[in-house]
Amino acid sequence: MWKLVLSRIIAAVPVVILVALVTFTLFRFVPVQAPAAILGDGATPEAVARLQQEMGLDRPSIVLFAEWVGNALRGDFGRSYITGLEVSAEIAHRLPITMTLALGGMAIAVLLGVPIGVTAALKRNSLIDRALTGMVSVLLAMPGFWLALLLVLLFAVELRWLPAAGYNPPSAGVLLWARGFVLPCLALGLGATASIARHTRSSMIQQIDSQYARALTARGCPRRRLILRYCLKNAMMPVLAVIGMLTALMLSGAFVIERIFSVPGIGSLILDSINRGDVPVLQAVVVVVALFIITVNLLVDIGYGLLDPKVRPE
Amino acid sequence: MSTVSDLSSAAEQRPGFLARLLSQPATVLALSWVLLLVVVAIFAAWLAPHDPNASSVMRRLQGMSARNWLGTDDLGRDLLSRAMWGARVALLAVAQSVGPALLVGVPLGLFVGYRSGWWDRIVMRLVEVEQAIPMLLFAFTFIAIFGRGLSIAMLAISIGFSMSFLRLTRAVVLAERSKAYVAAAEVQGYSTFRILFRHILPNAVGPIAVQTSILSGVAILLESMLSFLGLGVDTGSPSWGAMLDDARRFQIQQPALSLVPGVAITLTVLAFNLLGDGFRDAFNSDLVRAPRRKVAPPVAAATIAPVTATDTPPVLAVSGLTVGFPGLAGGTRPVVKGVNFEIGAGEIYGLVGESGSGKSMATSAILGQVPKPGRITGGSIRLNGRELVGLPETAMRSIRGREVGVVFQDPMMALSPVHRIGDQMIEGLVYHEGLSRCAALDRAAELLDLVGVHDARNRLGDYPHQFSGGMAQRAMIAAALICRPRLLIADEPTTALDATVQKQVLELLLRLRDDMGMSVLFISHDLAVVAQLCDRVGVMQYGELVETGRATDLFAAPAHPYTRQLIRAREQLDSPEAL
Repeated sequence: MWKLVLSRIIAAVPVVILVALVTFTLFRFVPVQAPAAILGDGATPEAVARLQQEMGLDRPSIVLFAEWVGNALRGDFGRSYITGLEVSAEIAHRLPITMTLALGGMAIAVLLGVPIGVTAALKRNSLIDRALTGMVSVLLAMPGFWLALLLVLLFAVELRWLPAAGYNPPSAGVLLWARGFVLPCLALGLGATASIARHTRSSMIQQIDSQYARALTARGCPRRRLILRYCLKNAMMPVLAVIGMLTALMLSGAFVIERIFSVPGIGSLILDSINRGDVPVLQAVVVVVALFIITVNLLVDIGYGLLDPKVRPE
Repeated sequence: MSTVSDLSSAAEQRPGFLARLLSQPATVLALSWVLLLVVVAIFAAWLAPHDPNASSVMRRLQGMSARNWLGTDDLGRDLLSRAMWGARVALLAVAQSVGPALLVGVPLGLFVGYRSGWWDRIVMRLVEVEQAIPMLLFAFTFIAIFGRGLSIAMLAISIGFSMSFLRLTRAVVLAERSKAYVAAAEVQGYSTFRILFRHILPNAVGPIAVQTSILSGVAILLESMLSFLGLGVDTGSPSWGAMLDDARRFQIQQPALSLVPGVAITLTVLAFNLLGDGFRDAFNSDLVRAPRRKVAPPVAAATIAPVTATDTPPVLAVSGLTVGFPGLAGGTRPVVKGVNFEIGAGEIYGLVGESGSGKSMATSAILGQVPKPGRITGGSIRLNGRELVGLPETAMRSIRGREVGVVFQDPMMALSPVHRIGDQMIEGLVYHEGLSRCAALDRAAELLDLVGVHDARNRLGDYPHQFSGGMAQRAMIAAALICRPRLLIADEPTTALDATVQKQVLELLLRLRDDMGMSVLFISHDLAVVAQLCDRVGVMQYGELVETGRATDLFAAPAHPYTRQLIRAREQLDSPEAL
């Protein structure tokens, strides 16, 4: 088991390094931008050059990259050009909020998507299946942020059950904190629900039609047991891969959802930083988000190993 | 043989790709929507009822009216006109992202897949990097560096899309490269360019078309997200995403505000997704649709009188069994037609015929497992004196595994790859006899030992991939016999195995018959095996049992022309001159 984990981690290392390199290179395209962002639009070229020298940005790229990577490895991503705050502290504060959002959305997606997919597969081509499949197709095509607007209209404006926007830290009371997450997680999770339901359905149908299902039935295995114990486990393997893929999509969605619900996560940090040309923050965010996605895919790989005896070393 | 002419006539009848595509109602609808959008996008200036930017304080946030069919926004601008101009932005975003991605991703994928080696490794690492960065974040980065604007954001997205096309094309190339036609083209001395674009690329067209359609939907979603965040089109420009941003701010005053852009995005993405599904189905049916077999005129059965082996009542008596499927032009198309045979106690009865002759469907009927929409349309199946036709599913369940056991063709397919062999063997036993898992595993070990698997107790905990094909088939035989049924159905049990293993399994079946005294219904297309193993044989053709009799008699003096044909074919195959 450990061998598998270790080999997966080793395989991920070059990707992480490349992500850092690509990000860094991209931001080096505009070395002038950083001082310009600080000094404002009216800065003279001389002032920009002076500040650049002060910040050490006139040194060769390779030196800057080595320095940046060295610092990043120690968890130091420098300071924001605008606020002067430590980038790592800012991210450490905001990342858990975005992760809670994504995790909550994923939980909804799995808890709703898998049963919907299984039901549709079991009732294949029936009215129920058609209704579910149709709903799933529409949900897949709906932009999450429109869904968010509709949810706000219904649950916050009309029914007044949940807050329309805003974030309360857990210290303000867990219930208050959780209430604020319900609508954002729902808006984020329903699209992923559709995706998981769709994949579960097709994967489940494949398993129900499989030769081993026929063989087990022919030996007298009751249908309920066949479905729950045999088909479901086999069907979940490709769905697990889908969950890994959805993580990246989920984060993209979270960036937009955060804005609608005024949630102070990574998304709002990025948008602020784009508007201000805050390069250290953007660089750090891209690397941290990539690291997060690589880690999730690593976990999916390991989960795959736990499910599939062929991958799992004895 | 008439097979060749059958094939060509079938090919003539098969509708073309476009016809297949247009035979799907959902695809036609989706295609019409997309075409409508294209027209609206091109002629927005003429088609839109109002200037999309003409604001009017007097008419802000109005509902539907004769003047503004879909209402107005917070500045009193006409929503319908803005939505029509928004279609232009959306389709432009598709063109700007998917177009370059196709031009870069597909050739790169062809090249990398064909060359492999270092090129492949380097490019694939870059693909992994791209996958680790969410596409929206990548677009953010580009905007931060190169400034705001839809074209810049779409450039970032087209890089992401081209990676997707690259992976897809590369996968197709890797699959095609090892095929004989590519090697032949190489020997012919064709240039790499020609091989890649003329020979390999056509195989990738289907998947690429599907992907293009789906990514077009993704592009529209991303454009609307960016415009919604104020990072896409210029402020004030009519884009569906920007319209949703207006709706966000004013939807408490006018709740219907988000409906126009929301429905526009959803319908368009849905249309592209459906179009992708349609492409997939149309391309796939290319491969799936097999030529339909011409039904030969029936020849009268040679031996009608049922041959009963012993005086004791038969274990299985099938009479007049007919299985039918709904035909294409209504009515039913029978695949098994009035089949009669009996199997006595301890007898091995062989059912032979080419694939599609209905012999496997007959066994499915005995097990009550005729795949839908097929069904038993007539006749009788009596197992141990009990009529099975018309028996409810619950009653069938108590019979499967207990009174009749089955062994299928491919043991690896007949086992769930992620469950232990032992657990899979005992499912029926636990259900039928209510044994504890422990006691059931004891019985499984006993039987596994009986069929010749060494160290049986420990191997129960193995997974299928730890068994060889022959061992797995022994385990499947043990599993089929675990409740000691009086009848074993062996459906081509040796076809998927090596020749030496085949022999061992056949010997095992003979030994088990002698030890346990069960009857065997042995299905095979292999005459040699049947001659060796079976007491009596039935020959099936086009769903009919054309001849039945003692194995020795039947092979010595075949009465039906089809049986003679089968035997002759077998002899030709065996004699070296035929090669």
